[in-house]
Amino acid sequence: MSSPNRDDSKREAPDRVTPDRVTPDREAPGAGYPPEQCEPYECKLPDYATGRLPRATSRAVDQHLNSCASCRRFLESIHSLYQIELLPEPVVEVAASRTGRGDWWVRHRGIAAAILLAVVLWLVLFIAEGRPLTDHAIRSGASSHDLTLADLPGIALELPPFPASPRSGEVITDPVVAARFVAYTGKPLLEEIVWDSCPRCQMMDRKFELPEVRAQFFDVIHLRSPLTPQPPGWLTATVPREQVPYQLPAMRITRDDCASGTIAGVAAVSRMTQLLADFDQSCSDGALRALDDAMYHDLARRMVSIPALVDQARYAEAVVDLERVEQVGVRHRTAFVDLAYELRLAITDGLTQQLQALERHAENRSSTSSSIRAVAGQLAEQTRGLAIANDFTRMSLSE
Amino acid sequence: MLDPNARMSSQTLLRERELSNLLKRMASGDRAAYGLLFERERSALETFFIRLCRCPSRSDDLVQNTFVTLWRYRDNFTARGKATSYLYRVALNQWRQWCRQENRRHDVHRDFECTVPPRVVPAPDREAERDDLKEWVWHSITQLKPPQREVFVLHRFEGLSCPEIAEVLDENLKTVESRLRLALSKLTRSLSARRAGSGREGA
Repeated sequence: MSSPNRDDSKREAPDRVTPDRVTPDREAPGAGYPPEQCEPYECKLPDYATGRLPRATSRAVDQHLNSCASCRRFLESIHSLYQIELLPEPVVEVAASRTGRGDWWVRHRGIAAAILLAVVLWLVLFIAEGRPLTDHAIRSGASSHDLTLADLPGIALELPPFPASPRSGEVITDPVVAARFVAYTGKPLLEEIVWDSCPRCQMMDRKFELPEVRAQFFDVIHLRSPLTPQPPGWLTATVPREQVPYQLPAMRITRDDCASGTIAGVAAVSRMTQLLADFDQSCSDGALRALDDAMYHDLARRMVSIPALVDQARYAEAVVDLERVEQVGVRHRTAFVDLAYELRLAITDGLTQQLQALERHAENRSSTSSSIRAVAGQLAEQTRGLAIANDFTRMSLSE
Repeated sequence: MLDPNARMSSQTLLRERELSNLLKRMASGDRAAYGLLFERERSALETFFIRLCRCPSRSDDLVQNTFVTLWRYRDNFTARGKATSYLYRVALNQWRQWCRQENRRHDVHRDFECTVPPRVVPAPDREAERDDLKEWVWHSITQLKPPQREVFVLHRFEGLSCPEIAEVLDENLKTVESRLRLALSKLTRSLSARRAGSGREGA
């Protein structure tokens, strides 16, 4: 096998070369280059062997080959590999057991790991931080040395009780529940969960991605190409009507209709594809509408509740709600942002007053001053953070 | 023999032009063009997928998904790049998605290890020996990592050069060249080992 781009006469009488210059008189058979010097040429050898290399590069490779025995050997082995007749390919059916449900945990080990992580996070956050600390800790005689930010009335991180942990595949339809989930796990899952607020849309959006999952989910869906041995029907799709809000007409196209891809068969495939696309589109529109409504109600509810939280000096909760409102409000309801800014100022004021009170308290009680100062430091940091955020929001609004 | 499609023949150019036309018409919503595209490219894609995963029913699914994706995201096609590259890209995305979603990269290897044991002992007659060698090489191909296998299949069977593969994969040329070099090194090493083994058995 010879390459159209290679000069065989040069190979017959190889010369020792520097990579860019041939010096015919100093040939040493088998002499080569260090591997790192050969690598760029080795990379070009596959295209060189199949004659697809540009002429200039091909000449450079020629020159290198004249003096490098290892590259010549590599080229020969590529030739001998490419000379082996590999067609038709021996095909192998993947064992049926691989697609069975028995090894679900093996195939979905990512999901399993995520569930485990969620459970651990839930345990850590709920058991460690979610306990009602405020009054109980003080009444149970917590010493001033153990004083933490959570022990100070009004500043305690009082998170509402955690909802039942979502199971795998469970659809969370209540945006408030979803928001709590995010507040506890600290993961930006809300959008994803709210997006799935319509279980029927979720079904379509998620499940239509994989034919196998599709088949598990719906009563009858077979999508097979005509080459599949003895298909039940060439392309049959029946979606149970009670599961979806839209009607997808059942279509049955027989194998005869479209043997060897006749016009009727191809047209039927196109029709079915279009139907599925339209169906997906209308489901997505429905999901968007549901999302928008849910967002609106969620934001409105939070905006109403934040001032009450500020009045009760439950700043941590107010901040969680506020951040959610700001995060979502920017994209969905810009009118919310102005109001959110006002609320943020109110929270900062409240926190600043708390801080000043705490500092005065620390000055008066020298015995617990160190721990209280530490708490005050945390509070000050939080207040500073809020102040910076306020400045940033103000700048954004003024632009 | 080397692949007869190695050089850009007039046939390849014609295919490229037809494919480009069909994809453009499909992008504007022409269903008849989509039908024609399906008719023309189906078997080529089927073979391509069989070479990647060596499983006819899987490749049926992958072909089906490729065409559904082509239609669903038909607006994404722009006439800037090569049409064949676009088609390969969509197809490769399906193959990668299959690898990823099903988490089968390792399972595929395991399946092949179980189902296609390499046979080192030379067969009695020449034809059987040739089949044996072919099986050995295919086994070695399935042992390659998916990125290396993709590059090798595109180079050896689809007749693409490294720059063309780089365009299809949207990768750096050096990355592609390096992957192909690694793939070929592994395959040639495996072939030499096999030949050495046969030589010893024969002696």
